[in-house]
Amino acid sequence: MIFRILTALLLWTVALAGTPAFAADGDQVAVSLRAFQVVGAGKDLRLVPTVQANPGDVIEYQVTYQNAGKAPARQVVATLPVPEGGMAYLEGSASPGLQASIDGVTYAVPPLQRSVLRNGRRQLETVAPSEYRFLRWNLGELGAGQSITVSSRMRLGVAGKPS
Amino acid sequence: MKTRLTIVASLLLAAAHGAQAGTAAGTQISNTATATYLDSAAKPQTATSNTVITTVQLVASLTMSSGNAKNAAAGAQVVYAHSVTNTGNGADTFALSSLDSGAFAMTGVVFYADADNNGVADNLAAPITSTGSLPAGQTFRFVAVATLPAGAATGATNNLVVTATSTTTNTVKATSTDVTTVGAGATVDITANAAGQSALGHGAGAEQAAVVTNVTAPGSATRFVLYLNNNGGSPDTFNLQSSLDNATFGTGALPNGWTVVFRDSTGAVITSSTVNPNASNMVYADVTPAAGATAGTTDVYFRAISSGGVKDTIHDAVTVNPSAMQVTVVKTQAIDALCDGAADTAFTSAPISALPGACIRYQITATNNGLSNVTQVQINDDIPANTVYYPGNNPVTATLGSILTVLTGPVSTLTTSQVTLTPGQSTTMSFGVRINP
Repeated sequence: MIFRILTALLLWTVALAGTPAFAADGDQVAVSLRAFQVVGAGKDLRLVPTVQANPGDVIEYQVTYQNAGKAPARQVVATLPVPEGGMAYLEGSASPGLQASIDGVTYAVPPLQRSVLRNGRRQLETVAPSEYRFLRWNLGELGAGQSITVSSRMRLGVAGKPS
Repeated sequence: MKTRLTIVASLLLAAAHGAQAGTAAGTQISNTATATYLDSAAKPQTATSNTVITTVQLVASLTMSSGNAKNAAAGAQVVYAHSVTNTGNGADTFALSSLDSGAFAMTGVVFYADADNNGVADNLAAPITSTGSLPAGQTFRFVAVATLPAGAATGATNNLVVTATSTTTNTVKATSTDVTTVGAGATVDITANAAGQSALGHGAGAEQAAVVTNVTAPGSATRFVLYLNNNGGSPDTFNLQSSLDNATFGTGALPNGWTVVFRDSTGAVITSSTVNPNASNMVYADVTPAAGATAGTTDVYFRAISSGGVKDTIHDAVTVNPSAMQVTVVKTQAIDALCDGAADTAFTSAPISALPGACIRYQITATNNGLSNVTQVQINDDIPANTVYYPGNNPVTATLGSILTVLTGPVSTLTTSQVTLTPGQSTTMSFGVRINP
């Protein structure tokens, strides 16, 4: 009798696992990040996988979002930090649909602007892209088995020179 | 559409500076991407990527200070100051080397550390061939010491290229070029109390008679003010010596108990003085007779001599007088026949002849011959009988202080204000009188 009940539960569980509602969880979307050094320019430009960089080098980060589940993931928002330690976002190098932030809280479509108080008057000024600390893309719905890759390039600062 | 970000500006600026700083070698830059989404149950989820680490590599970079140009005599030594600044992103060691070019080659080039940046080798017993490990952003200072060949022709030029090469990336190097031109050798002429060709003691060799005679009491120091004039084409260093005669410097001992001490303008005791071309250095020679010295005058010779044998001697004397005062006063006179205020002849202490109606210029000089200050020094002089104060175009003056005498109406006595005389210092009152017609 007990064996029958366990068997029934197991079959019911297997049946539910096939439904979209059950497949969705925190592991549904796999995120893979890779770093490449940008070598050359124009038609000779190459992307070389790298774990090291010289000051002045341009690094391209590629992030692939793979929906490994059997149900779509909705309202997918991809976030790529601009790492501390001398990296600076290269303006115009990101995949389309970029939003940027300098604090990881407030995002906007570049170019970012901020309000500053100068000579007693408040005014708007444009934030340099090298000050962006977070990049974000609203990817919308990612269907089951679907993947999408976003990328952005960043330059490692040279001693004594702005990035 | 643009969205405003209203954030305190100063915080943003701080972040910006951080992003622009150079990135040190060995820094590990980590990055991790994320995704947020709604699963099929509309439940928010967060997915995190693997972490990518990028390690910053050492990039060698350096700068060197500019080279310099100097004139030096054949056979002389030149010292050039240099510095290397590590502008890379990590510690590096830079090898130092040199290469000659031009009309002649240096007979030797050696590098020495110059940590105090005074342009002089810190330790001549410790030559160097590299900067040692130099942290990023730091500067290493050193000197290149080179010797011109003895036979180098005047006017010939040598280019000494000093190179600093990164030992981590030997293709990264910086150079600095020093240019040495062979100039005429140094000369030296010792004069008393002033520099130049019009000063006492000008000319080669010791004078027949003492050019300055100081009077002092036994055991009381008296100061001679010497000028070392180099009218040559190169700098040189002169050792300072004293003697009782003009032949036995180094062995010609002063009388028992007498001492001579040379000092620079700051009062520091010195034994030598380096004089640049077309320049003069003032040197004090402080002579102290023995406490038991007997009255009388003793010749004293001072000599400046370089390692290359360039030399001159000045002949001075010390009169020991048990009742001598620290301040001496000398009065001299000169004819001013036209009464225009200008002396027609050199001033002298000797008698002179003048016609009635002519003028006479007087100079009264008070000198502090001791080694300490004297205060409240005041010069007074009466207008001589049968004359009247006559300014002409040159009223009474004093080189220190001022004239206190009211010059309107008859003048019987001229008086200066009180001044302080430092050791070796003088003050002179000058004026003119007219002999009654």
